[in-house]
Amino acid sequence: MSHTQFPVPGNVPGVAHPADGTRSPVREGLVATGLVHRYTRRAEETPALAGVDLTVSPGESMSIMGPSGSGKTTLLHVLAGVIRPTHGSVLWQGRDLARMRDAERSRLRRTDFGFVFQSGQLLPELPAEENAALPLLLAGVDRGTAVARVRPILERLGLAGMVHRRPGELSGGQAQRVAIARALAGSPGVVFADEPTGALDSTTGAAVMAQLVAASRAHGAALVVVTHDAGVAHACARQVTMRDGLITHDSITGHRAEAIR
Amino acid sequence: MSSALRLWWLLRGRGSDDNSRLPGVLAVIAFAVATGSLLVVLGGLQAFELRSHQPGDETAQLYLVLAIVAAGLMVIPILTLGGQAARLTLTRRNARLATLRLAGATTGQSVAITLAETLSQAVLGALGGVLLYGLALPGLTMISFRGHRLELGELWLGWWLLLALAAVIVLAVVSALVTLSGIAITPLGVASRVSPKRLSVLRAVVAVLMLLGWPVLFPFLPMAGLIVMALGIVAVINLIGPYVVMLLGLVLTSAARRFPTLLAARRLLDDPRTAWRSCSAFALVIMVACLSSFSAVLGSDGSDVHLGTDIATGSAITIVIVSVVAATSAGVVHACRVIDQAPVYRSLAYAGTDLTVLDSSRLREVAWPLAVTALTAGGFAALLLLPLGTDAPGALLRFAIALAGSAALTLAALAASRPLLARAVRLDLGADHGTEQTAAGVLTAG
Repeated sequence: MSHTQFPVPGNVPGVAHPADGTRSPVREGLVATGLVHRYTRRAEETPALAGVDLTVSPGESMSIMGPSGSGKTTLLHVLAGVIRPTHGSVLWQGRDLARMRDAERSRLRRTDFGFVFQSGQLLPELPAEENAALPLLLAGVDRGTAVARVRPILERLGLAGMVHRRPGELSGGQAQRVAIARALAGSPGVVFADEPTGALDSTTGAAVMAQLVAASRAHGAALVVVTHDAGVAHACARQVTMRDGLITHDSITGHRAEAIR
Repeated sequence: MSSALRLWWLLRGRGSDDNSRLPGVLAVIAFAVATGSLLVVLGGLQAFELRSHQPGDETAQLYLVLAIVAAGLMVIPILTLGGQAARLTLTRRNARLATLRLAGATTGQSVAITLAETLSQAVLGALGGVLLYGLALPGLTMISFRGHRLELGELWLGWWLLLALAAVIVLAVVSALVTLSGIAITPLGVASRVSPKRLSVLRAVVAVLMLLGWPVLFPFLPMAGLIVMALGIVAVINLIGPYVVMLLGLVLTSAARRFPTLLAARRLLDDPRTAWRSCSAFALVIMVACLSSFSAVLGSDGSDVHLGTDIATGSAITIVIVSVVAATSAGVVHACRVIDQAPVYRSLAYAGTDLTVLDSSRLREVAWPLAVTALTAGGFAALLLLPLGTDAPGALLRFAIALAGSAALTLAALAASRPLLARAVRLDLGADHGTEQTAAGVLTAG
């Protein structure tokens, strides 16, 4: 796989970046310990995570695979601070996401993490460049500056002539590339992707996945991808498999655990 | 075709969650308000028509003309709301229609299913409208014109009611067909055939020509001239209004530096007609309030003891009906937009966007066109009313109250959709173990 050189956007207000515009080194990465999560709905409890320990190292790419209901999306949400685990901790930059208030976690997601979803989830009224610049705009960066910062990323992703197009005028693959640019716009420490190629054909999906991995690496961001697709999983350097709320296989540690039946 | 109808019957009322049913409910509410308002307007018109039968009573004739003018002003926003209700659910049945096409349904069958759905909503809404009309009747009999209360027999439309219902249903079907001709239902989804286009400058030219031509035409339209004038004013307002909103969107888009302003401006530019719909009724309220303030003064010259008061009463009724129709339109459109864009709103929430930021953008999208309308139409009307300050000191105040009340009602309707937005961006609703999030398209079960 060839890796293109991706420009890194400059400083963003609210983000602790050094003067050269790059993120300060994250030594520990994202460290999750003893994660247990249960959903309660109509007085009925559904276990989703049954005791997960996982470390996402700085800059590494990791896929999380598993059948439906295995807990992989829940794990992604807990790691990203979208939901608070029932038990356990998630340490990022020395702070425990599980102990943060909603507003603090929102701020952290805005400044430190990037997200890519299955169908892009772009705002239909905004052209590609403004959709990509959303994290910067939301962080209070002036529109002109924000758009100027994301244009090189869009160009590197092959969207140079499409920056003024609306999502409705883009193909699925192009829209997903805009979503990748958006995820990287704020110079995140970690990019979380939930089935990023789920809505694409296999050829486009492979190309988009390669660009996601390359672009994240170029930005020094770790990448966590939840997927059903073995091809997508193998585009990442590390593969983790889940079943019944537990990690059953980790390609780096060689860890295997017996899933709870 | 019968298989399509059987399929529609099977699918009706089924949805994975509240959000999939809500647009249908909102469409029924919009149809009900449109029908109810139309029946009240027609009932009032019938009452004045019956009273004009007294031979030699020229004042009754004047009242009838004024009633026709008021009805002419009200009918267009009411019919617009009816058309809007028909379009509400059409563009958001994407997944279901695409699935049907994928399963082998023909375009004709998809259209038939969609029309059957719109028709059922229109019929339900029309019946709801009859109920609203029935509930309003006792209140309307408390209102007096020329010293006599309106009577139930004068207001009850009888067989005409069926004709009005049929008109609303036909309008719904025609609106649905027009909208369907603009979208392509393919197995891969429902796509709009055209990107939003800039409105033609021809709109502004035609509106200006109509305004310039009016003084020439008016002398040739003696009695009916008032009615033509009312319809002409509505036409000019609706021709030029969306164009002004588009220009506002253009200016704001180039000037926007922050996200809430940028999104609101882009949305105004994207669909100025929808943004204008709330404002068109607001502009009518301004016009009616202005005319009524004048008429109240002119009518108090002693020629008829009741004329001044009755014009004020009639204007108040017109303002209330137009405002309710405008607020319903704004509320329904924004609620449906939240439901349609729930996955995008949710993705923004994942990325750490605060609800207040999204709210602030929605507020700008509604408040700015209202403010421009108030400043242009309202400012012009206020200038006209200034000389009345000494003759009728209350006129300017009443005018200001009517404007503020109407704008507040529209903003309140927008605020009513806030719980839907708050729900759309809640990230702790069952996460990946519920079907709701999967349906919303953001989360996948895992």
